[in-house]
Amino acid sequence: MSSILEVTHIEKYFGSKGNITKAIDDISFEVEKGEFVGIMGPSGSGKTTLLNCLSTIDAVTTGHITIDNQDITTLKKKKLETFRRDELGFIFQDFNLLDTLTAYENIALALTIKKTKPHEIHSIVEDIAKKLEINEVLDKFPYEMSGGQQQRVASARAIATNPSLVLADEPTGSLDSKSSRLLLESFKKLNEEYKATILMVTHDAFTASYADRILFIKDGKIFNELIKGSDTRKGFFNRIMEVVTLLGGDLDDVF
Amino acid sequence: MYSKLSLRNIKRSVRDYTIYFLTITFAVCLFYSFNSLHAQQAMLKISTSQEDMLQNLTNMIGAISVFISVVLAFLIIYANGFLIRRRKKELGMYMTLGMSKFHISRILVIETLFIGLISLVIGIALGVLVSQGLSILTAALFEVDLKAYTFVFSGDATVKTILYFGIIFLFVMAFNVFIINRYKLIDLLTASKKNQHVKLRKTSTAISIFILSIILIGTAYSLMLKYGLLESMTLVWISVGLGAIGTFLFFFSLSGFLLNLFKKNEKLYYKDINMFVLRQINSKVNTTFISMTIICLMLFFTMGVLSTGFSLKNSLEKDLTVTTPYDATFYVYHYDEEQQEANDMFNSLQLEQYGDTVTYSEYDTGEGINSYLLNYADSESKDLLKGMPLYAIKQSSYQKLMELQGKDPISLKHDETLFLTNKKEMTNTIERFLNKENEVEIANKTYTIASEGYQFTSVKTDIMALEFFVAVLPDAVVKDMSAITTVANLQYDVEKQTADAAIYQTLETYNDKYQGDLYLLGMTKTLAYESASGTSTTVVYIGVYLGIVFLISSAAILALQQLSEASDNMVRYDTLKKIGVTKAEVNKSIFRQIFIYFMMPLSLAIIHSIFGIIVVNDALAVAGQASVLVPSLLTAGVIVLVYGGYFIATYSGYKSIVNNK
Repeated sequence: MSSILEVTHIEKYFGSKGNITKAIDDISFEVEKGEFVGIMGPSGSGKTTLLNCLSTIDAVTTGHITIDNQDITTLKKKKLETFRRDELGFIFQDFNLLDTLTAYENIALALTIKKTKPHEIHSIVEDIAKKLEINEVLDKFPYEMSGGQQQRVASARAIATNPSLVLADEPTGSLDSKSSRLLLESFKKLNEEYKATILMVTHDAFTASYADRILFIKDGKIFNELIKGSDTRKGFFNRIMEVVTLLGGDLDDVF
Repeated sequence: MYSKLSLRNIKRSVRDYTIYFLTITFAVCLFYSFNSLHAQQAMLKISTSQEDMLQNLTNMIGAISVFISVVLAFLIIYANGFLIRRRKKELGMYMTLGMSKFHISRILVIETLFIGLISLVIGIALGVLVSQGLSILTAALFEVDLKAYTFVFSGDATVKTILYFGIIFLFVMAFNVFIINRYKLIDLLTASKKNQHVKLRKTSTAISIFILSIILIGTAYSLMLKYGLLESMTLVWISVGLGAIGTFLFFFSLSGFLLNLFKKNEKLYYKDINMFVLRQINSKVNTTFISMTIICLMLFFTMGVLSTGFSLKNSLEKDLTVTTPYDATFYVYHYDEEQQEANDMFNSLQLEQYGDTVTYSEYDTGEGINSYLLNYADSESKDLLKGMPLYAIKQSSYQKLMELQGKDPISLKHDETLFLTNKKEMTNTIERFLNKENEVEIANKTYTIASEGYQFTSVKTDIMALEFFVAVLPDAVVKDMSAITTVANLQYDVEKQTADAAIYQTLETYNDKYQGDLYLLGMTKTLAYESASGTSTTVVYIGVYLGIVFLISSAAILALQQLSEASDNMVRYDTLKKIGVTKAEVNKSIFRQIFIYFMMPLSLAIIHSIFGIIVVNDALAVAGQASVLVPSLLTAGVIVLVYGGYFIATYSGYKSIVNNK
């Protein structure tokens, strides 16, 4: 197995001298191709900063991030834009679908940006829509869909371009529990059938329990790591809860 | 405290206010410049008759200014409304902090006052500068010389500008207070979220409506092209109505139609972010088709009036070189039996004191021009011929008239005839006629046509070329026809200015003192030129005044609509950037979106104008062929400058809102 993401000793400081906050304090980890990794941590732990750095939206202060054998910390601004386009897929808490486009067009847009040939677009979109069970809503506009449907469309958009790495930021944050479950099942499917590598940031233990491996972050450092292994999802969930309690996580944050 | 807050607000949102501020400043500047016209007299060497014309023009502009100020009031209130909507959240924040609506209104009133004062001061200052330049234009249009430069400042215009705009600002303040009182706190705070609910209409009906609109506009065009402007006023209004409704439906359905069209073409629709841009425009035009229509019609008016206004001047003056061969002409219409009275009248005028005179009469042959020329007429001359009688003058009169002009008369044999015309559009027709005919029968007598055939000349001084086709016939024959006009032509040998003034005086007063049935008419070469320049100046000034106000209003509305959208669209562009659209591509898409949005009303207005200019030109052709090329280029220049300026300001403002958050 080759590793798709390598993070080595990254640090990220905010503020100027005399008043420095270390949002990320020496984090290193690897993600293998086809893995489904969760990152958990309480508010202010640095998980959003980490995701921003991974998604090239923010730059690290020191250290290196290598995605698909490219060191993104040394890429120029212009290169970063195309790198983001070609190698990364994004799923956001508030879906970020374009409200002026239909579901179909939202997914197709990700492909047209990558200059996919028009005649190929149709089959790709149809195929992924079937997998995520959204083929019924393809002609609808975002405001005509439920939150769960919107998030699955957003997932389809993220995966349609076949990126090396899908970054999901609190994907279930705006969803009710039923929709969350449906979405996570879809993630599982994408992970297994498309061999998509997913890195998901969440503070919800239930959501996290769908991942294969979980990294816990506290105060900018990796605090713990859990691997699902052959455990059931339920068992994995209980183990996660133990760590969350250990982290001093307030239970309000968990459910 | 509140004024401090207001001032800080303005400073902070300078970007939003730029267009608002610029528009008001422009408006003030225009308003002052045109209303200061009267004061510009100080710089111009004008005659009494021109002074009268300038006074008329000033009065007219004064009246139009009332209308203009209403238009500007709407524009400013509209612009102001946009700004308030953009600041809903900020206002909501004030309310949650415990400020009462009264206090918020007060902040807004002070803001309006600040902006109003600043733009009034700058606008008037600019207006004073512009009006210096305007004096030069006035001088050029009136064709008079400038006296030594004097600094023109019009106190009247300043007071008027302050008064009118003061009233407008009062309205704006009242409007603001009204708006604030209607808002609910919850609406203010969630304003940004609410805006995202885009209205999207089904596109299937768009195609049929679009086709209907094209049919309506096409009908309006063909009606006007077929019947022209002069046939009947009802027809003109019907065409204008059809065109306006067509334009409305056009914008109502355009984006839906285009969307359908592009969707069919997958290669284009699924290329880059084309579909985003298209949807973006679609959602915008779907909600703004009414203002699009108004803007398109305003632009049409601007272009039409600017390009034909200048060509009216050209067309009015083009003929004058031909139609004013004498320094002065007097004439009376009369019955045959009044010939003696007419002669007595001219004798009493003692025209010899001014120079050489030739007096002659025009006679009615009883024939119509149509019976000779209709078969040879082309589209240019056909309309001119309708119902025109054929007049004749004596050979001896012709000889004297030509000699007075200093030309050698064509020598005519006893039974020969010669035709005269001073209408350029007639010459081709007459030539075709002469190529076929060697002889002509007039009033039951046959004449040989002189070998020269016809001469392009006038036999009196007039504003317009109206001697389409005049026959020179032997004296003996003409004597038996009935005289209908007696004319005295005059070539000065005294000083021109004194003679002109004396004759102007005579023409103004003679008929009041005269006891008989006849009415003395007359024209001097100077008056003809002055009247042409006076008429065209009036049209040009009013056209430029209204046109530029309309142009600025159109551009400002488009700009504000786009900019007010920018903050809402920030979210969309952010999403685009997140899913991998590069900044360059985002900028390109913003450019396209604004460009298409600005071009939509302009393109249709250009097409409307092309047809409008053709129709107006046809109508003006009676007065003389006009060239629209130079005025059109000039108009295009003005539009590119103003419209383009607003476009660039919008684009850069939009970009900075989207990119800087």
